[in-house]
Amino acid sequence: MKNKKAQEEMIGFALILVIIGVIILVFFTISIKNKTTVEESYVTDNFIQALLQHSTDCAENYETDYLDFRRLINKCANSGTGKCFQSSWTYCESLEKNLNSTLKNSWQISSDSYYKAYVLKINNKGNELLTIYDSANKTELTDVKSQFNSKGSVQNLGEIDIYLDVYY
Amino acid sequence: MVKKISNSRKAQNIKSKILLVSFFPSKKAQMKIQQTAIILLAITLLFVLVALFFLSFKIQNLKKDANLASEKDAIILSSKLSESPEFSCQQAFGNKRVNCIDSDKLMALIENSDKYSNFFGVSNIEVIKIQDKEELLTKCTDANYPNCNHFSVFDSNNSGFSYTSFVSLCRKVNYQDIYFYDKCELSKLIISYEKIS
Repeated sequence: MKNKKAQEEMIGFALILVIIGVIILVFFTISIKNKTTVEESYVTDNFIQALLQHSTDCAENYETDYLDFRRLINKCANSGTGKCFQSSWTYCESLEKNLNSTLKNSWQISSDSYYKAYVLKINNKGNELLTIYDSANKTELTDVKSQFNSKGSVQNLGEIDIYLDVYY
Repeated sequence: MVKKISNSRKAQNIKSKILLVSFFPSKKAQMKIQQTAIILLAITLLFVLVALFFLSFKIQNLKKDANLASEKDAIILSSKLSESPEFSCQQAFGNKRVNCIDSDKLMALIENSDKYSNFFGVSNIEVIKIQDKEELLTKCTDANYPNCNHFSVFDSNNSGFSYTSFVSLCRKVNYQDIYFYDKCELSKLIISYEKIS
């Protein structure tokens, strides 16, 4: 009789421990999941919209026929080996060069500033066309992803998708 | 008399026995009390932990929501301004563009800023071209336009808080007096409000 009561109490105690464990596990998974997802952002969306209208230094048919980023991305996707007017740069090389400098000047990336890193990815028909990444102290992307929160957005130009994620 | 004394002794004895039991209960009862106390403590701790988790989760979400709301406010406000006829590119640069500011219109507005001082309901509107970090800010005037990078509509310094968003700043560039071509530059639009005292 005495033994049975002790057994019942032990089972009860074990049950309480299991319930506590499950609750803690659920909260942990929720908090971890929350950290890795990218927040929707109006700033990055607004940035991509303005960026696409920015004139680059790559001209198409004549000296002052400068392509904006929207047209240059399309040129790079459709005729990557084609070259800018009177230039040795191909459309894709010019796109990478122009994007690198524009992004660098737009997002102040350093260990002291609010933004710690950014990734801009351009996909054409689902295949990667170009990826530009910069981070404070040249930290690897995998480390940045695990250390910081991020926000970003996607802009769709027909078959081309532009992704921008910034880490803070 | 003797009976009275023996009665009081008996009462004293009983009293001391009761006290002894209450202060030093049996080992089994002690264990039971300890067990209950530990379980109560564990349950209280569990509830405190759960509450803490829940609170931190809620606060985190609240911060995100607040940031998102302020971002949204800034973008809506800047879109409202950049789409107004006083700023917008409209059809001047081909198709209708969004978030596009005509820099010639901006210069005209700067020249007539006194007439618009209460029109937009803001303390200042600034547009800063995004250029190399090393390049210094040069305020745009009639004398140096378009070789400048900082447009300030109202020269107000009494700004409490400001909203920043990205816009495209477009203008017509004269090519050797033969024709004009379009040039658009990525810029920051900063809208400032006066501090309410």
